[in-house]
Parts: sequence; structure tokens; C-alpha cells
Amino acid sequence: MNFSSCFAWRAAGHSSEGDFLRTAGVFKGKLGKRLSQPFVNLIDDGTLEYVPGYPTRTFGFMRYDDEGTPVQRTEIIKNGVLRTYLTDRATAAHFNLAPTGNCRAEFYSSYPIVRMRNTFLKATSGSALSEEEILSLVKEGLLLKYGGGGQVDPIRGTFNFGVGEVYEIHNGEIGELRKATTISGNTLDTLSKIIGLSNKMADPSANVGFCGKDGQRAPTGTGAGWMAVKLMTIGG
Amino acid sequence: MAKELTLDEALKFSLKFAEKKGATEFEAYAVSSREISIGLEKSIPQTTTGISEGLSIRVVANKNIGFAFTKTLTKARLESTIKAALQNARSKGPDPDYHSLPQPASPPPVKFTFDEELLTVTADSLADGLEHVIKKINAVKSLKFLQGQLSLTVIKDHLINSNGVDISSQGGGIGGFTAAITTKGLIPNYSYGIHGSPTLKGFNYDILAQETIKQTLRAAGPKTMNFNKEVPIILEPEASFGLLGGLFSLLFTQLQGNNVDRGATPYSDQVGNQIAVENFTLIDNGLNTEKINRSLFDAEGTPQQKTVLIEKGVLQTYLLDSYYGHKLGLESNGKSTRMGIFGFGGDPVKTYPSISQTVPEVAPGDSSKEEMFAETKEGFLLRSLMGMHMSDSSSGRFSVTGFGWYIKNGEIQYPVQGINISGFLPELLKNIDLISKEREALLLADSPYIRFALVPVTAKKFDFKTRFGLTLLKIISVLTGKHPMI
Repeated sequence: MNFSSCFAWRAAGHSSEGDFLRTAGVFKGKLGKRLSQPFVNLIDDGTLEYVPGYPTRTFGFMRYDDEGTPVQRTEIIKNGVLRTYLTDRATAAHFNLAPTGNCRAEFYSSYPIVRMRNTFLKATSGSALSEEEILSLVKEGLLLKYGGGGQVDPIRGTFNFGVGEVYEIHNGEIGELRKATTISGNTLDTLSKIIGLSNKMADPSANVGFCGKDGQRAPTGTGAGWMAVKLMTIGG
Repeated sequence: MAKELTLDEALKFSLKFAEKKGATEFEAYAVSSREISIGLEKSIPQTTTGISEGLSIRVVANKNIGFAFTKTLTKARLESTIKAALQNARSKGPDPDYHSLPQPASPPPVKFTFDEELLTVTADSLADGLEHVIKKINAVKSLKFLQGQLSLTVIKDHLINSNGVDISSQGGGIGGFTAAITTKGLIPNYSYGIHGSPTLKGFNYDILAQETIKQTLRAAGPKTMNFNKEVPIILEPEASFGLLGGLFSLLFTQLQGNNVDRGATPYSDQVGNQIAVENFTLIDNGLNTEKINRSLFDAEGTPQQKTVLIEKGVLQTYLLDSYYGHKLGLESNGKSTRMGIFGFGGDPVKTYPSISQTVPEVAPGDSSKEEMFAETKEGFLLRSLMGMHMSDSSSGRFSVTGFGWYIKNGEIQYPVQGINISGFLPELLKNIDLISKEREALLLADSPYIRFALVPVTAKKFDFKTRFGLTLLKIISVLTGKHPMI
């Protein structure tokens, strides 16, 4: 899974889940508040069956959630502003929001919980950058490709992800391959430091994920474009 | 509707059918479990009651093992399950390293009896207990109950194999966690207590409440800070062996026979070598009957044992089941487990037996906790780590984020969020300089406090914008009596 998807799904996605937020969380009380630059959109799209140009169906596609609510394309963050949480029927009622069709259970024996489907960051039309423009924007830094496993604390807002492939960015060009590493940060802090997004979505078959919330596995996808962040903490 | 067999009838039927269909060896594990779980997120309850029965089957054919399971105990379904297991075995082709399923063996020199009192626990009594804990937490002025979950599990199982292993047992336990939140200081913070016991008498709601209160009060008023240097770190037992992933979970992965066999660990061919400092002794104690996961035999019928893995820094052996024990020229030391026992990580019927630890124990050292702190000019005390499961077990490289406390001039200064530590575990094991005399009993492990002499630590202070936002939230919470993030 590419790293941008990893952040969108695990860090931002989990932080927007209504059942977590019913208790506490860094997104709580922030509906209608600006969390990121105006060009940043965080989308959870269960209706996205195919990414144009790729034959593989996305891993998070479904028609109805596990309460029978039709799934939808949910704009969690629109133009940098938090618009909704991801909800099932109970949390939608709790927050007086519309059900977003995010209720999912692994088995007949599993308790249905709120979780993501296809989650990705997308730049507002006209603000998207090409990958070359992202590299130029960063100029000196690191290109993190292929995020691995991760762990998120949605109450404290901290996250820690493995990154399988790391390249230097030098003078706006991809440089040497560096050793695999981890990255950590705070979800709100990272959202506020996004300086550029590419809308070139990747092959869904290379961006297959399983969310393990509450010990239940659920297939989630997809491959978002590149994301440029001003400053992050890279592991040793 | 076809008649369902009892579990014992299903075992006998399956054994006969597998022999008839050409299995050279056969193993069946029948399990009947009852679980009650009550969770509460603030004031929203969630109660789950489950009663489950099923049969896991391993058959040997064509010198390889096939696995299948079913939760429908009709003759037709058992027959199709065994045929599927045989097909799975045959399609894999012969395995030259396959030896045999375990032979019958005497039970280990420990005894315990199933606590019949566990059968009296109901969802209502768990709810009453949880309410008691919540009242205790909310009675503390600066704390609020955040979430919690209590579970009761009772498991009755029966394992047979064609070599004569025939073991019946009944086990269970009661336990859970509660978490509280504090808004003291600029950054709200939470912490949790975990408590459990294999007996009802051994479980005490007050202990759970007290632990949650103690840990949350300690965590109150955390700061973020800019930090980037190598300093000593002290691991609390929870950071070493906690359920959420302690540092030594990586070492146990590295000592699993399957990883040793694949060469996916730095410790292949290292038995007899000094891999840690001399005051470090690590045990996997399957004979510890105080823990909620106690049992007399492992998942394939090998007696539990106390296994010294590292003695005075010297690697003694690995975690082994019968397959990898034989393949590595050693014997099984009873580390075959089925996930999902006592509600941890799945369903015991559905999971293939695999190698895992039982009860990790680190031998006490010769320092006191106070001495450890006093001898730390600058460093961190860590309680929880996040991301250990992403570590590279083949090299031991890790980089994780933790929560803990900043230590300066021998004294704990304040809690810190977002402490990043990184390094290579094999190097770290040779970098332990102090181990406490005091040991703490965790849910599934016993450990002292452990200090590492020098570890790369990084931390980053929230930027001005974030701190300004938190200040506004604090002002709102003071004015309204309600914190917007909670």
C-alpha cells in the first residue's frame, strides 16, 4: 500500500470513525473546523468499484454496509474543513449526522463496528500536482513509498507506520534508496502540514489492506496519489 | 435437518473416518466455549454473549499435514471436512522433515482445578462490576471514565490423536481493562488498567479500578518536547511485555522455531552464545498457573514446561512445537498454541496450531527501582510502545512511538507524548545495564524494570498552531466545564 493511502486510511480514517469519537478523539468537536489546507480532501468511497485504467476491483467496494445502509462517497474533509464523521446508524443518531454506510462486521459472530472502505486524499480540482511537481515542491527530503503495517491511537492522535521503500529527494529529483524505516506523527499536525497532493491514483491491486480494528479483519483500499508533507518524524 | 453429534461422538466418528480414508496419522481438537463480554464507551454499553462448538482436524497423508475445521457437527459435514484436510495434505506433497504427531506423555508437575465459580458469572454481574469500577474512577476529581471491557471465557476442550494422545480439560478466566481520561494540563491524556485471573476469587474489581486511577493520574498533564539524542531508557514491565505490544514481543518472535528454521532471525545457530548481558535471564514458563492462559498441555498434547530461553545472557534454546523441534534436531518444549483461547486474537477452532510464548518471565536483577532512577541523569521511563509489530524480526531493527516520562537528574519530571525510540534489539540486549529487584505481575507475564544504557530517542514538540488550538480548547473546557475533545 502506498504511504499516502496508509496515512489517509489508518491515521485520518480511524480518527474520523464515529464510534471512537463517541468516546473521545482528536477530531471530536471539530466538525466545520479547518484541519488542513483548502485544497485537501479526505474521501472514503465505498462506491468506487474501479480506478480508471486498472482492471482490478477496489478492495473496499461494497453496495450496502452490514446494517443494510447503502454505501456512499463520503467527503470527510472537504476543502480542508472537517465535514462529517464516518458513521453507522447508532453513531449517526448520536452526532445528528447522516448514516454514511460504514458499519462493518468480519463474521456473523462479530459485533458490527464503524470502519473505512476506500479511503484516500484528493486535491481540489485545479490544485492537483503531478508527481514531478511534488518532487520539485519538496526539493530536499525523503520519498516514502509502500507503507506497511501501522498502529494508531485515535484518542491521542498519534500514529506509527512502517515504510518499506525510502528514497532521498535531492534537488527535486529521486535519489538513492535508503533502508526501510518507520514514520511517526500526530494526525492533526500532519494534516495541517500537507503542502501538495497528486491525484494520480495507483493500482488497487497493489494497495490492498486489511483493517484490524477490535481484532476484526475488513478489506480496505485504495491507492491515493502522492502527498507532500512539510515536516515529519522519521524513525532510526 | 441432519442430526448433530456431540463433540465426543464427533471425535470418535472423525478418527474412524480419517483412518478409513487413508490418513496415516490424525488429530482432532474439539472445543466448546462460552463467552460473555460487556464493553462500555463512556455511557454506551455493548454486551456480547457467545456459545460456540467446533472441531479442528489435522490429518497426515503423503507425509504432510492437512488442516480443516468445522462448526457443524453432522456426519456429512465431518466427512467433507476430513476429506478436505486429506486433500490439503496430499496437495502439498511429501515433507521430508515431517516426523510425527506427539506421543502420549505424563502431565507436568503442577496442578490446578477449573474454578466452577466462573460458571456463576452472568452479563448482569459483569455489568455490576463494571459499574463499580466506573464509580470508583469518577469519584476521583480530575478523572473521567473513558471506556472499558470485561470478559468471561469458559472453555471445555478435548484433544485426541491417532498415537494415543487423549486429553480433556476445562479452563477459563475473567478479566478486562478500563481506561480513564484526564484533562489536567494543556493536552488531555488517558491511561488504562488491565487485570485478570483464572479464578473468580482472584479477580478483584477494586484492583482494576485502582490500577486505572493510578496510571491515569501518573499520565496527567503530558507535554511534547523537542529531543534528539542517545540517553538511557527504563522500561516499565508493561512496555516490555504489555498486551498492546511490548519491546520483548520482538525477541519472542525471533526465538520462535519456525523463524529460526527459516533463518529469519539473528539467533539461528546461536545456542550457547552470549546474546545478552550476564544479568539477563529470560524464561517462558508454561508451568505458571497464576495466569489466565494456564494449561497442562500445549495445543498438540505436549506437556507444558518451564523453558529457560536465555540464561545469564547465553541463549539456551528456542520456542518449539513438535514439527520444528524435530526439524531443528531438538524436542518440542510445549509452545504450540491455538489463537483465540480466552478471547485473544481469534477463534481456536479456526486457527492452525502455531508456535507462541506461554508466560514470559524475566529474572529479577539486583537494583532497586529507586536506584535505577537515581542513576539516570537524563533519560525516559516508558510505559507503552506503539508499532512493535512492524519491526524487522530478521534483523531486530525497530522504531516505535511510546508514552512515558522525562527523567532529569535522577527524578521523574513530567509525562511526555510521542517519544520515539529506535535501534537493533540484538544490540540493545547487550546494552542492558540495570534490572530491578522488584517484579510486577502482568496479565500474561512477570517482569522487572529494565534499563538500557543508551538508546536513540527523538521527540517533537507540537508547533505553535497546535498548542494555540489546545489552549483554546482548554479555555472552553474551563468556561463550560466540558472539554470539546471528550
